[in-house]
Amino acid sequence: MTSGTDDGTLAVNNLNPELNAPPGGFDLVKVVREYETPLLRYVARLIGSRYDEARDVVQDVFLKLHKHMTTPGQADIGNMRGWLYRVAHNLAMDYGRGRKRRQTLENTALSDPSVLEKTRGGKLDDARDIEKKEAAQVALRAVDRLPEEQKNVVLLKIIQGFTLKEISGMTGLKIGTVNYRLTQGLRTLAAQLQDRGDQ
Amino acid sequence: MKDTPEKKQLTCAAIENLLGAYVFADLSAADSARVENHLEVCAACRAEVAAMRQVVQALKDELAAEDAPVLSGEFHQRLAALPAAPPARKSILGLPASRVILQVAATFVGLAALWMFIIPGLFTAERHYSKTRLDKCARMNDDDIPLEYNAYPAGTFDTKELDPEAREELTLPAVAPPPLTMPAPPAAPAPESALDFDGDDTMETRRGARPATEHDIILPGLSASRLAKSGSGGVGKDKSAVDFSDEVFDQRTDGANTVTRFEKTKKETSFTVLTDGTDVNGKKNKPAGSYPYGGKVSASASERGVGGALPAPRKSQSEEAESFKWRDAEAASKALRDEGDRRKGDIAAGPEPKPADAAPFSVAAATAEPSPDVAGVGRFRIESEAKTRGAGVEKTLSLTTPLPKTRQQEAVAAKDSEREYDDGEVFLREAGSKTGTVASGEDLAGNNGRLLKQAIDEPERAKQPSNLPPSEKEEAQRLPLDGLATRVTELPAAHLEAVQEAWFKPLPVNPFQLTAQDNQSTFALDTDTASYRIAQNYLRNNQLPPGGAIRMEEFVNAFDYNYPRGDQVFTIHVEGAPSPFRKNLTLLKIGIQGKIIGREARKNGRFVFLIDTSGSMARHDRMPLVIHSIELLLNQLDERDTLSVITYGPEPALILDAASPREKQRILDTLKAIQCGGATNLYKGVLLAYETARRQFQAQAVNRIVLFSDGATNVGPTDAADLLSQVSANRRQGINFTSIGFGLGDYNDEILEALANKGDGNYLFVGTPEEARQALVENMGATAQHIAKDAKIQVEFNKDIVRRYRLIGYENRDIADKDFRNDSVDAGEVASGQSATALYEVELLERTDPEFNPDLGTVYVRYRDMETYRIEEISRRISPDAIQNLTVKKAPRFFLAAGAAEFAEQLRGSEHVQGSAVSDVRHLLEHVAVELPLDTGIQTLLNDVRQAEKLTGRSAP
Repeated sequence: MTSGTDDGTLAVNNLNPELNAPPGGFDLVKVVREYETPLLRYVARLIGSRYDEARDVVQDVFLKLHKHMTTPGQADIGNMRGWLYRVAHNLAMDYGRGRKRRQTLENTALSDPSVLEKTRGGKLDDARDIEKKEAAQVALRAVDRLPEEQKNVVLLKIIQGFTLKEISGMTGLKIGTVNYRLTQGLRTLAAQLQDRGDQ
Repeated sequence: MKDTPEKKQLTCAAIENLLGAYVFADLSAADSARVENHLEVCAACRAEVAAMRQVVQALKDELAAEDAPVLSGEFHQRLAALPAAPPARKSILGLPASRVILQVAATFVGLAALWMFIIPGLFTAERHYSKTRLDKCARMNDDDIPLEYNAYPAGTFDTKELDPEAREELTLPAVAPPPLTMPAPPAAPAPESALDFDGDDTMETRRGARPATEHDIILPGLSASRLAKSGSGGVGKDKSAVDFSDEVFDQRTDGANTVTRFEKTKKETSFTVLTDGTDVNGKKNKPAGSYPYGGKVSASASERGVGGALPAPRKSQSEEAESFKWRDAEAASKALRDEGDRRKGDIAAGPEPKPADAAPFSVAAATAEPSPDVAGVGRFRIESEAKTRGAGVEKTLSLTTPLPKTRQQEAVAAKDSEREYDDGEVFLREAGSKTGTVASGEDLAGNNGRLLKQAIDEPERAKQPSNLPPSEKEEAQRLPLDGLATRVTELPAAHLEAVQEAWFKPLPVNPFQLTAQDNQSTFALDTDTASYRIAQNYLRNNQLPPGGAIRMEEFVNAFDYNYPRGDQVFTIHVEGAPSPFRKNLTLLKIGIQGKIIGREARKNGRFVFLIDTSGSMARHDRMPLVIHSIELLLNQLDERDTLSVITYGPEPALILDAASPREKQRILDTLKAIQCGGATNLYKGVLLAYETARRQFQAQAVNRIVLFSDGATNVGPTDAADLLSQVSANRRQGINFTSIGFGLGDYNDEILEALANKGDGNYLFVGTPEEARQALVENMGATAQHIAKDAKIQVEFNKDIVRRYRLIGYENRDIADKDFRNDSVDAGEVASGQSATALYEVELLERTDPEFNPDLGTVYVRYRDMETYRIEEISRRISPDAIQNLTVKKAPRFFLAAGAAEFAEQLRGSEHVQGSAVSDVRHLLEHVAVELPLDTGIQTLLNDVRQAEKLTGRSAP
């Protein structure tokens, strides 16, 4: 780019130094912007709730990150997104444990297509889109019903596109196990989608 | 056969846990190959993979469709405020402080009690220790607030530093106008259209205009169409805004092709794994514009005062574009003055020209200057000049009259004629003179400004984005030719309907595009040829096809250019030479060749079918199924193939020798007459089959023996070994062996499998008609299967070398430049072995420095591989060597493409071919036909051209 941009950057620093991350540090705002959406999706799917609850969890993730980064002596976060997802998973599990019964109820409510339609706010375009939409909704509902461990792997794959190796590193599972769970999860989802088609 | 299902089961079990990763293309090459091998033979697993892909796609679609969830604004503010808080002390005074203090106090009291009462002796000694512990406790209890933020010098923590590049990108959107990242604000278009009105089609106006363009276009008048000027080439080219919806995970260079693999991730989550291998936080290479919060980023950046940091360079760009224009205008006007004496007309005044008045100029302008440096072409051009000077003049004219313009344009033109005149002059000099197209020649020849304006308006209008369906009224007025229009109305009703349908979506021909304004050309691959077939039908009914039914690319793609095929899904071939029809222009031919999928390329087939006629084969699930299978296969074969049939009982018999699949009935009758019964001698049968196959052997063809048997063979071990060695030896010669088993098994099929293994062929089992179809039709590689979908091309021209370009055809396949890497955009599907060819007419800049010899540009092809379901992108540089002084002798197929395109453009009534006549095309193609005598397609085309020549002659006034 041109030097104009460099000047611009400098101008930012000069104008409002407090707004900027320390020179050697990381930009929390930037990280948040980058990951909030996928993390929200991930957590929301994981705890089978709508986004308002997921928001609490994801906020905690970022606060934890902030704390981690500002606390001396903490281990370096080598893999930012891996860290975020791992923490998000743990917090979501904690959160989920605390409200297991409520979750079940909500799950039931969520499986109701009318509720789902409202929460998604999807735009209906034409017949084919509706068809597609339906398939997607069925698939999403099926994801909600997946066993925890399969759901986690499937979500990590679909939402963030982690490789098996990354997932393995994050969850501490063997790659083979990750693969197995992914396959099982997809198989279940596919079967449920197929069932819908057959009906 | 008995154990085959079990074997299959075994393999299924072995790979079934890999399928999930396979769907995500996340397997090692070896595992991937294993899965693929299995999938090839296992329909159940194939179906499973397909279902998984479907579900993954559905989920991804759904995520893409929903509104991206975000955290609340308050939280963002809170986060933004976090680092700004001074360290420890002040934050304790904040809201959560009371809790913290309480906790700290409680801990303190607790610990103090502990130390004081339980281990009092250590109290003093432990003082220092306790203080540290307390600090630690305080931190541990503090969830929200950093105690000591900013208390550490930079670099204390090993976080990734934002490199300068990333910082630039962060600040970049500040200078981009809001429409890039936000819904178009209503105010945005106004100043830009004003800017554009000046013809100052600069970077920023195009960026800014993009969202507005779609709406503004429908307004009548020049300013609107000006706005849309760059539509055909795509408006924005701010690649950074779209580049990063993908995760690059593999890039390699293979010869001239650079292959980059992408795994699609969600657009909203675009991040990391960066092309240069750096890491982690997605800081580098991550343009703020593609954040879900891109708008915010840019907004906040401008709040910080970065906004407006960049206008200067943009300004200079626009100035450059302007001076560019004028420089050319100078040269052009000089050229025109030189020719002025030979021309009767005058730029400024003159009567409304009758077409005949203009004709001599159009011909002269186009043909007076042969290309002496290209021997073959030059000669041809001189000939064509002679012809067109004679009786052919009016024929030419009927195809080259400029398109009538719309009333709206006339109205606007009348209102603002002086201004447009100025504009127009620039444009004419710009577009017309250097090429010597007749658009300028005619207009300048003798007009009162009206035609002049047409020449302005037409190219301008042509620049409208193609996705905008023009009004019907406009359509009606856009008939390419006056004469044609009257002819068309005389057509019978059925034709008329077809014509109307065809006209429903005619789009303006792509205009020339200055690379200074937009150096990217993006469109979807198209392999259709229907337009050519339709045109042929018209011509054979002694009618010229309606211009709207002509799609140039489909004419070009109707012919085989014999591109070499590679192992990759696509290979890109670039070839260029001076245009045979227009001086100073270079024709660039870009061929995209799809690979052949299946076991081998669809080559000619030399099939020898070896059919078991043992008694057991008589059962209903055997011989009738064999015949059914062969019938299915026959439908997939054509005159390129031959078929021999050998039956083997106690003695083998050749009952069909090299029959053509065209003789389908005879073949089937012969097969149905086969009598089953008695013993069989596979050994002798195989020997005869090889003998037949060797006799009919054709190099470069598929030479294959297909054994149809229920496996009830009585081959001794010695014979078996001998058989297998036979098979091996012949495989090395290029004859392979496929076994197809029938009848659910009460027999041993080892020998069938061994034969296929050794023979480099398949071993398939057929139990039902459906399986027969799968085995023979799908696995024999005879059918067209899609190898790629949503295939797009983007050609990026080097502004230093290419002054302007024009894509011939593909008008209705236009894709916005910015959408090239948007994988949700629907683009072209390509089946196995298909190719697509795109022709560009480019004007190269004069090379001032002989040392300076860079590429002309780069061709990018992006597609979804149907095998891996992965997005891939390949690219190829257009090296300067690609442009040569080709001759028809050297590269007949290049000129075949040129001729086909030119012919289509003439039929279309494109303003770009007003200098050439149908006879020119005929001349060219006659030469091509001499070089390629075996290609009957060229003969057919030549006949069509002759017919068109006759028809245009008749229709000329």
